[in-house]
Amino acid sequence: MLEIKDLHATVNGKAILKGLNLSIGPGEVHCIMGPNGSGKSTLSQVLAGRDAYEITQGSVTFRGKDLLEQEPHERAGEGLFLAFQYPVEIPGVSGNQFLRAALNAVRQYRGQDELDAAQMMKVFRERAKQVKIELASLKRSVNEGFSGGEKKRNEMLQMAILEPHLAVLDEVDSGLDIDALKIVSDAVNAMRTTERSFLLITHYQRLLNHIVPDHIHVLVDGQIVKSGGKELALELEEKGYAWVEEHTKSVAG
Amino acid sequence: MPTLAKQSRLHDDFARLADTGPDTLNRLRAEAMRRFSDQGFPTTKDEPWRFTNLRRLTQVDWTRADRPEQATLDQLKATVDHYALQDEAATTLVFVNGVLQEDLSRRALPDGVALLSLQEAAAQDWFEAAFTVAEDAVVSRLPDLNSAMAEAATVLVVAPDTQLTNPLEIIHLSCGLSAERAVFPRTLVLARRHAQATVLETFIGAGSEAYWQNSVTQLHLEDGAHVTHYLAELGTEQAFHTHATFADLARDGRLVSENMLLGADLARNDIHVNLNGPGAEAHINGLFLGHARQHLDNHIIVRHNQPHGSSFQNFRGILDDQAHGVFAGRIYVAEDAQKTDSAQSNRNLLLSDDARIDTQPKLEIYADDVKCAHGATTGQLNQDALFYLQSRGMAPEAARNFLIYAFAHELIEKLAIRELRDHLEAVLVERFGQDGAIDVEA
Repeated sequence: MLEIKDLHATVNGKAILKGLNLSIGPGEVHCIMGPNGSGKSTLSQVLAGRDAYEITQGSVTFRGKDLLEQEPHERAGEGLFLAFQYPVEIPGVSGNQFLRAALNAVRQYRGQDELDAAQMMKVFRERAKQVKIELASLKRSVNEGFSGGEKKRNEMLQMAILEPHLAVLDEVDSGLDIDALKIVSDAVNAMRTTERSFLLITHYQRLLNHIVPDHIHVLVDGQIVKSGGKELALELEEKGYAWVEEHTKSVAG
Repeated sequence: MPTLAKQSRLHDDFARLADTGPDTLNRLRAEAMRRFSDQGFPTTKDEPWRFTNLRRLTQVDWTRADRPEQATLDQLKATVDHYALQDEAATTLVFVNGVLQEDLSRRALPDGVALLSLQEAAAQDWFEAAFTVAEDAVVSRLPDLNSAMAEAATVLVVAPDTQLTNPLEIIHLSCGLSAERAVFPRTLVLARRHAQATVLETFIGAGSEAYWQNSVTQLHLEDGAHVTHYLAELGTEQAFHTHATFADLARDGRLVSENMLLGADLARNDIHVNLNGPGAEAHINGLFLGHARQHLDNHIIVRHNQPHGSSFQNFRGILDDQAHGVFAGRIYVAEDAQKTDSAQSNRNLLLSDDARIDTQPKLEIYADDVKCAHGATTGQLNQDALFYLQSRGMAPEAARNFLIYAFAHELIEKLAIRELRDHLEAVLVERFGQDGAIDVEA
C-alpha cells in the first residue's frame, strides 16, 4: 500500500524528517507516536503533498506509483486521504457543495461518471449511515464556527464519502472530549476493511483504547526509533517518551 | 468649462425638455441644469473622484437615447425575461431607454402602493422636498444632471403600515444600438410611517455600442419604515454607469441596501445615507466583481445626525485581470449622535498582479459616546484553504475558483430574494465555475 524509504524532508532549510522508513500493507492500521517536534505532522503534510516542505532524499511509493511526483489532488484521486489536525474553515459554501465538488473531482480522476445532486445525496446518506455521523453539518458552511469535535467528525464524514485506500489521520484525537473521541474512533473502525489501510498519528495513547492498531512506531527527531505491536503503547504510556529517547541515545552512543 | 465642451447635444436635449413639465418641475430642472453647467463633470482633482477618472466618459458627446422601435422592443423581450423576476406576484416595471414599456411590464400593484408619473408627482405638496437632492450630500453634479434630464421617473408611495411581501422590481434597460446614447433613470420611494417595502433595481443593457446610464434613486423613510433596496449593475461591457442613492431615515427607520456591481465598463455607485431620526438603522452591503479592464467604484457616506443610530457597511471586492476597484466608506457622527453604533468592513481579493484596489475608510466623529469600527483587508487566496481543497481531490484551478465563489457567496447567500441569489450565483459559476466543480445549492 505505502512504502516510505529513507525519507528526508526540510522546511525553510531546517531538517525535520531524517531518514524515515515505513511500510504499510493493505488492511493494516499503523500508529505513529512521538513527542512534540518529532516530525509527526510534517510526515502527514509531506504525504498529502504540501509544497512548503522540500523532499531532499528518499522515496514514497503509494499503490505502486511514485507518490512524491503527484500533485495533492492526484494523490486524493489515487486514494490517499488526510484528516487534518486543524481542518480549514471555508465560509460561504456549504459542506454539501464542498463534498459534491470533491467527490466528483475524485470520480473524474478515477474515470468514473460524475454524479448528479440526487445520486450524490444517496451516496452521502449511505456513507453517513455506515459511520454513524449525521449529515446535518453539511448544510452549514464548511467547518465555520464548528467546535473541535464537530470539525473532526466532519473530517471522518469526508473520509467515509471519499472512500480512500489509505487514510492518514493527523492528531485526530487532539482536543476531543471522550464522547467525540468515541464517535471519531467508531467511524474509523466502521471503515476498516481488509483492503483499506490507516495511518494514525497521535501524541496520546488514549486513542488506541478505541482503535486498536496492528503496528506502533515511535518517531523521535525525524526517525522511527522503535516499532512494535499494540503493547508498545502501554509501555510508552507508563514510561513516557523520555524512555524511548534515552533508550535511543544509549543505542546510538 | 473644458469638461462640458463636448456636451453640446445634451444641452440641446435639455432645451427641448425645459418647458414641457409642470412649473415646479420646470423650475427644479432649470436649477439643476444650471448647477451642473456651472461645475461640470467631476475630475480626479476632486477628492471623492481621485481614483475614478471619467475622461473616457466625458470625451463623448452624449445625446439622450431615443424611444426604441417596436421591432427592437420585441428583440429585447428575451433579455428582459432573462433578468426579470419570474415570480408572478412581483411587480415589474421595465424602462427601455428611460421610457416605461407597458407590454414588457407587469404593473399589478399591491394594495397600499401608488405609482406616480413624474408629472403626477410634481403636483404633490411633498414633491419639491423629496425630489431635491440636499446640497451638502452630493459629491458631484451628476445627480443634478439626472434631475435636469430625467423625462420620466418611478415614483412609488407606500401607504402607512403597508407591509409588502413581494419586491417591486424596476428594470432599467439601455439599448446600445446607436452610439453615444445616455439615459437618466430616476426612482423615488416614499415609505410612509411603518411601511415596509423591497425595491429591486436592475440596470442592464443590450447591443454592442457604448451607452451611459446616469441614475438617481431617492429613498425617504418615515418613522418606523423599513426599506430594502437592491441595486444590481449587470450592464454590458461597453456601459458607463454613474449612480447615486440618497436615503433619508426618520426615527426608527431601517434601511437595507444591497449593491451588486458585476457589469459595466465603468461603474460608480454613490450611496448617501442620512440617519435623521433617533434609533435609525442602516445596513449597506456590496459585492463588486471586476474582470478585464472594468472599473468599479463604491462611495458610501453615512451621516449619523441623531442618537442611538446604527449603521453597518460590508463590502467585498473580487478583482481579476486589470480590473480596478474602489471602496471609500465614510462614517460621520454628529455631535448630537450619541450612542451611535457603527461598523465598516471592506475585504478584497486580488486575483492577478495587474488588478488594483483602492480602499479608504474614513471616520469623522464629533460625539464622545459612540462605537465605530472599521477594517479593510486585501489579499490573495488563503493557501491553507487551497491545500485543503486540493487534498480533497480538486485540481489547483478548481480549488481557486471554489474559494473565489465562496468569498462572494458569503454575501450573496444573505440576500432575501431567491431569484436574485440564483441569478448572481449563475454569474459566479459562469465566471469562476469549472467543469461543474461548483454546484449551486439546491
